[in-house]
Amino acid sequence: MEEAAGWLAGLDTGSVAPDAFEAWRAADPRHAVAFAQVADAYQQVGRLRVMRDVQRSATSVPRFNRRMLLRGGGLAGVGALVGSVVAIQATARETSSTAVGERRTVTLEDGTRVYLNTATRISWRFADGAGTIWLEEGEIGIVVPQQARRALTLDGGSRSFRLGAGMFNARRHTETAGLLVLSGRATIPSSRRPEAVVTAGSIAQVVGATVSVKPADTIAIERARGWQNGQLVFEGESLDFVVAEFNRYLEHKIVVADSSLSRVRLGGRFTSTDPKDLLVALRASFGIKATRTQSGVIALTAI
Amino acid sequence: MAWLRDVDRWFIDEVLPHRAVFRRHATRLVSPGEAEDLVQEAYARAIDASHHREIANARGFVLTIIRNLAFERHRRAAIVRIEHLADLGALEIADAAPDQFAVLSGTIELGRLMALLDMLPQQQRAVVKLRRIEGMPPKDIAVRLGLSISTVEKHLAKGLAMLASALQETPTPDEGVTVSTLWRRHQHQRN
Repeated sequence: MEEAAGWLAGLDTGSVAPDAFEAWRAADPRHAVAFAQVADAYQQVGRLRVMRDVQRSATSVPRFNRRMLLRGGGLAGVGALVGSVVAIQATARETSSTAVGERRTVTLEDGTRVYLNTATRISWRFADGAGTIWLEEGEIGIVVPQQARRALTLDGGSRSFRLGAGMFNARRHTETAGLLVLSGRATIPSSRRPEAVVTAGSIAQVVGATVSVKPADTIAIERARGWQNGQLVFEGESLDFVVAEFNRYLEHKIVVADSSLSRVRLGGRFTSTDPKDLLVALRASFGIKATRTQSGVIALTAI
Repeated sequence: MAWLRDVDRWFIDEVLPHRAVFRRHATRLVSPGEAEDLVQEAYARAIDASHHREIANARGFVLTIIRNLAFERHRRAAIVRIEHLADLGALEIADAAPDQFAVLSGTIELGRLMALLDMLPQQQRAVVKLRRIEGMPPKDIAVRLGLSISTVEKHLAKGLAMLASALQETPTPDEGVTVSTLWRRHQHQRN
C-alpha cells in the first residue's frame, strides 16, 4: 500500500515518469489493486470538499463576543437584555431560565456572569458574603471575575463545587452533572484533606455522589466555547449523537427514522439554532433525506 | 484521474464499494488474521479479469473468487479450524442482489473517511487536506508549509497509504478505530 501511495504521490507531484509507473503496475496484479485502493482514497478525500464548504458557511456567521451578546441582535441578544439582572442583596433565591433554543446572560451581584444555554434553569442566592448558584437543569457558562471576593459555590445536584476566579462550563443531565474548567480552578468540598482540585483543562464528572476528575478532550473544550458563539462542534460522532445535540435547541425535533443511518459519523461546525446546514450536509455527502412530518418533526431517511 | 485504466475504474466503482461484505465473508471462511489477505488475493484475480465489462454482478463475481480461494487454502492447510468448515457450507447461497447494507456502506464511508482523516498525524493530514480538499498544487503546499516538494510528496504518500489501508477495514457501528491502530495492524500483517 505504501509503495502504491508513493507512486500516486509521485505522479501527483510530477516527479515520476509515467512509463516507469506503467511498468510497475503491469508487473503484478497486486500492484494494480493497491494502486486502485489508494486512488480510491485519493478521490474520496476530494469529495470531502462538500463538508469544507458547509463548515465555511457556518464559520462565516459573525461570531458573538460577550459585548455583542449584551448589546443585542438576535434571540440571544434580546434574552441578554431581559436577563441582565443585577441581583440586589436578597435572602430569597433569584431564578432565571431559558426556553428551548434561547440563550441568555445574567450578571450576579458579585460581578459573576452566567450564560444560560437552551432549556436551562438556575437559581442563586448571596447571604453572609457567600454565594451559591444552583444548576437545576441544562447548561451554563460561568465567568467569575478576579475581583470577586466572595466565596462562590456551584451546586449541580448531588455534589457542589467551590469556584475560584476563572471560566467554567457546567452541564446537568438527569442523573449526572459535569463541570469543565476552562481557566482558573475549582475545588470539591469534602471531609477529605486536601480537597480535590479541578484545574484548567480538566473536567469533573458527577455520577450519583461520586466525582471523577480527568483531563478534558479538546473537543469538549471546543464545544463549551462553541455554544456561546452559537456554534455546535462535532468530531466524527455518530449521527444519533449529533441529532441529540441539535434537538436540545429545536422546538421541532429531528428523528433518525432509519436505523442504518446511525453508522454515519459527522465532523464540523454548525450554527446551533438552524438545522438547515446539517440537513444540507447530510443530503449532499451521505444522501440522507429530510422530511417534515405533519406534526413538525423532521424525519431523516436513507434515499 | 489520468492514471486509471478502464479496469481500475470498474474496480473502484463496482468492486471496492462492497469491501465490507467481502471482508465479512472472508472472516467467516478463514481466520481473522488471514481475512484481509484473502480479500486482497481475490482483488488481484478480479483486477486481472480482461472481461470486466461483461461482468454483470461484480459483487457476486468477487464473492465467488473469495470462496474458491478459501477452499484452495483449506485444502492446502494442515489444520483447518472447524468453525470455518461449517461456514463454507452456509456460503453456498451467494446473494446476487446487493443488499441495503452494501449500497449504504459505499455512501457512508465518507463520514468514516472524514473521521479517519482527522486522526492522521498532523503533517500528513495537513498535506492531504491542502492537496485534496483545498485543491492546492504541491509546490504551493511546499511554500505554505515550509517544506521541500519531495517532503510534501512523502507526506502525501504516507497519508494516502494510511487512509487507504484504514478504508479496507470493516467499520464497527459503535466503536471508532483509530488510524494508528489500523496502521499498526497493517504493518504487523505484512511482517
